[in-house]
Amino acid sequence: MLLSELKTLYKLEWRQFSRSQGQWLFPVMLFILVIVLFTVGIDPEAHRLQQMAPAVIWCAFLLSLLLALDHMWRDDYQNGVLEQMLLHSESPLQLLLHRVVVRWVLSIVPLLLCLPLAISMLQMPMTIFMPSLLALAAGSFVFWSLGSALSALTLNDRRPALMSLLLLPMAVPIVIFGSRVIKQSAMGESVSGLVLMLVGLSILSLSITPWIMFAGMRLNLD
Amino acid sequence: MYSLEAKNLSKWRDHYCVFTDVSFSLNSGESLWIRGDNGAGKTSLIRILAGLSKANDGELLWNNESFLADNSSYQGALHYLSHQQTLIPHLTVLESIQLLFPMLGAKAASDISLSLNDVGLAGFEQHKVQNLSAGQKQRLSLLRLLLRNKPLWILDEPQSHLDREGQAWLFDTIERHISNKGMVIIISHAKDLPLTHVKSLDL
Repeated sequence: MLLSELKTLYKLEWRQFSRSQGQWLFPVMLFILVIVLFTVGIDPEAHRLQQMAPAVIWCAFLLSLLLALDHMWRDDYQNGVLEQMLLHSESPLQLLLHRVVVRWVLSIVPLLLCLPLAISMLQMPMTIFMPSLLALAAGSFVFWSLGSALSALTLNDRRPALMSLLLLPMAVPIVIFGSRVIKQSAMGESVSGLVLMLVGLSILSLSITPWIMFAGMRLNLD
Repeated sequence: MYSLEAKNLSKWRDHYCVFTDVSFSLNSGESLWIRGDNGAGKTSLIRILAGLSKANDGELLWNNESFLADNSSYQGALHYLSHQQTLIPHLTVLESIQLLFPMLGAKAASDISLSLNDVGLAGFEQHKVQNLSAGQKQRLSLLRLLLRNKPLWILDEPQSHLDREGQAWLFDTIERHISNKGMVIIISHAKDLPLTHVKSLDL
């Protein structure tokens, strides 16, 4: 893919994002609301919140991403833009890959900006911020790329919850490793191994999922 | 000079036969008008020709060589406009030309005002696509054809939503393309097409 083509794609994605009438705010609001509901619903003793905080942060984060994933391909599929992009692109796999990356960045940055707020609401020490940020970024990319592939495979399926129901079980290892990062960093232990594991998983998903997306789209376009 | 030949194409969906044994040949400077009732398989055929779908049987030859869906020389030679308008509602007309069209096989326009003048959209640069009429959206969509010179145009009901003046402009543009040794495959429900050198294929 040429650099000029890439620049055009990134500009196009940014323009769509900035014109989305605040759609990007919905995942952010869901993330904050889930955290708020947990904090008001649980006994306000600090240690209870702290015990549950890692799982709460991860579940809220991944559920919020599900909202953003809903728009990954569907709008462009329905208005015919997606098939024309695939038809006329000289490197459709790269096109899909870059689109997944740029949409992931645009979706997680607002969520990650809310992370300090979530940490303080759950009465966790601010020392967990950086390890949590790295783990959420790497883990969410695995989740995002798997979700993008499943979205591509289910483009023609009209059952709205199907993609979510298929995707959430795949999130189990991400939540296990990701929650451990937050738990261990709160106790002052080293988490570099766990973070590297998540980074490795995200690289693996990056190398496999574009093929699945492309195949899924071709199947749905036929 | 280019040539496209279809030999005994057939398409099934589940156990239902959409069409069978469709054959035609097309050379530079010719156009093919695909006709048929609703559900006759016109769009299915045109999507096979565009490389978006696969025939269950038969063969396609581009310049006498067998065509596969990933044949880059064939893909690089065609412009396919579907019956959808292929536009993003939130973008302006100008952004569509500068950002969307280059991703859809057209070049960025060197002279945008001239291009917009061609399709009768001069002065609409900053209008959002969602605020254009259906006919104006169709004109904008058709502008892609003019922004990169590709020999084979595959058009699915291109005159829909266009007024009389727009249709005259469209067929004039197609005619010019054919006279410049281009090829056009067109689906149309019109009773007659104002084109010379047009072959017809009934499904």
